[in-house]
Amino acid sequence: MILSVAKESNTYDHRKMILFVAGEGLNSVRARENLLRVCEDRLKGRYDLEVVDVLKDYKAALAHNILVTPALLVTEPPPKVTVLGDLSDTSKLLKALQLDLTA
Amino acid sequence: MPYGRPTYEELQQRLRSAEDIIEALQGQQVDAIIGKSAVALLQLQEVKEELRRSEEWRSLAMEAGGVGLWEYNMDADEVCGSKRTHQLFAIDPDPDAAKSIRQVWKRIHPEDRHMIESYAAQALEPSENPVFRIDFRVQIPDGREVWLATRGKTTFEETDQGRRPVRVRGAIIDVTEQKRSEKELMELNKTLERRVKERTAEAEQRTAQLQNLARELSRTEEQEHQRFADILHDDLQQLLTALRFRFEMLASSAPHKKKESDQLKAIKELIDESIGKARGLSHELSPPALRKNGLISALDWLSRDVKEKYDQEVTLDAAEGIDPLSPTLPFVLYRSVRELLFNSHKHSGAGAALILVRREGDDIVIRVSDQGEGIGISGLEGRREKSAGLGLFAIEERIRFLGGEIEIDSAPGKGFSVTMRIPDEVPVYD
Repeated sequence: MILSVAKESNTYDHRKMILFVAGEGLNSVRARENLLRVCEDRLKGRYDLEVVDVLKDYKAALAHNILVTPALLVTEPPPKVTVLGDLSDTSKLLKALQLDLTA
Repeated sequence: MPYGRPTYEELQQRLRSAEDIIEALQGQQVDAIIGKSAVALLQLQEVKEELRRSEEWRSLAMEAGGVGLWEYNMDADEVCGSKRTHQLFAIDPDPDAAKSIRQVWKRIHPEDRHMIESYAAQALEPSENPVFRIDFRVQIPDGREVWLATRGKTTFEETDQGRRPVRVRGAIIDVTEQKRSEKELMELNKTLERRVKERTAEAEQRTAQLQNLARELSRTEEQEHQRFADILHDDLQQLLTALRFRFEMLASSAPHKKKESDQLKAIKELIDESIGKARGLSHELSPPALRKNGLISALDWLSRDVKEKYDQEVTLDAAEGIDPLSPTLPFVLYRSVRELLFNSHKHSGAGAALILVRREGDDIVIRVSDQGEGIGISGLEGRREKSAGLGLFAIEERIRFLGGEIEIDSAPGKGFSVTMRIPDEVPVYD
């Protein structure tokens, strides 16, 4: 178990992230679209994405120190990184996901 | 950092996330603010203020201690120093590190360079305790000489070939004041030591003067005794002898009646007794044996004299050839021993006494002891009160003045013993 986790984090092959949104708010919709586009392009089948709607569950957001939405929290690979906003800045998003900008 | 306050790193972290939020807000990319985050944002100014204070505090701490920082990176072969470090060496910051090093090296006192080199070599050796401190002098162009102290630590990296130094980091401060205080303290100590020596020498000189005076006194006293003895012997005794001679001539020149003959006989006996007394007094004042044959021989005569006069058995235990060299000592010691023997005869009831004479180094040691009744300390003190300046205590004073020591050992029923120890020096008279 421990070995497999170590291996996973070493290979940087798998991404785990949480996207905090506020219902169907404009920025939240854009953020979800921008994120999914990048994930399908670059991480197909190699990521877990959880979407949390703070209008339904704000406590999960507070637990992760998320104060505004939309916000993307990348939990794996470490370190934890938070990107705020509609994720329209692709280079910032790629950097947070530890992906090569030029590829 | 005051206790309970967030650390500098925590503050920076909080500031970064707050700035991210503001950026998102300004870009109108936010559509919800959760819970107390509105309040948190309002606290942003406070965070910034706190961070500014924290930064000030850090730089203040550095400046107040006058601490400069420096770092040497092995891989890049680069040296960098803080503003304060440049100030301490009185050099201007230069982007060319090699030039900076040359400038620093020029400032260091030539006599201290070798030491720094050897410390530097040592600092790069892998060791358990990679912390070092070096004190050295720096010559500032305005002519001042400044003492700097640097503490540093070497960071090592574990490689397959063993430990390898990666960088050396250090802090540097000005310790000129401290060094000056240390130097002043050392000089003060030296002055004090010198003064103590001077005072000691003065005291020693006074003691020596006092001892010379005491010797001079003994010598004068001895000369007086000698003069009296000579008068008794040469003048009075001669007169008495002449008187006896003439009397005998007169007495034998005519026949006498019985009553007259008895008178003449009584007068002759009185004359003889006077002659005897004069001789005895003369001997007592200045024993011929002491003058002619020295202390040991005089003590030997004294022992027999005491036995004869007082029926007191006296044993003399003295090695051959240990007569004192000093011309004063024999008289002082002779009189002291005689006084002690009389004391023993008067007080102890022992009927026997022992005189022991030894030489220990440059000291003459004489002990007079008996196995008599002895006396306790209180009795001795009582006797001291009654007869201040006489007998035993006069001896004590005399011996001490001549730089000697006297030890009295006695207890009721345990006998009485006096040990005199006196340096035997040939004094130099002016």
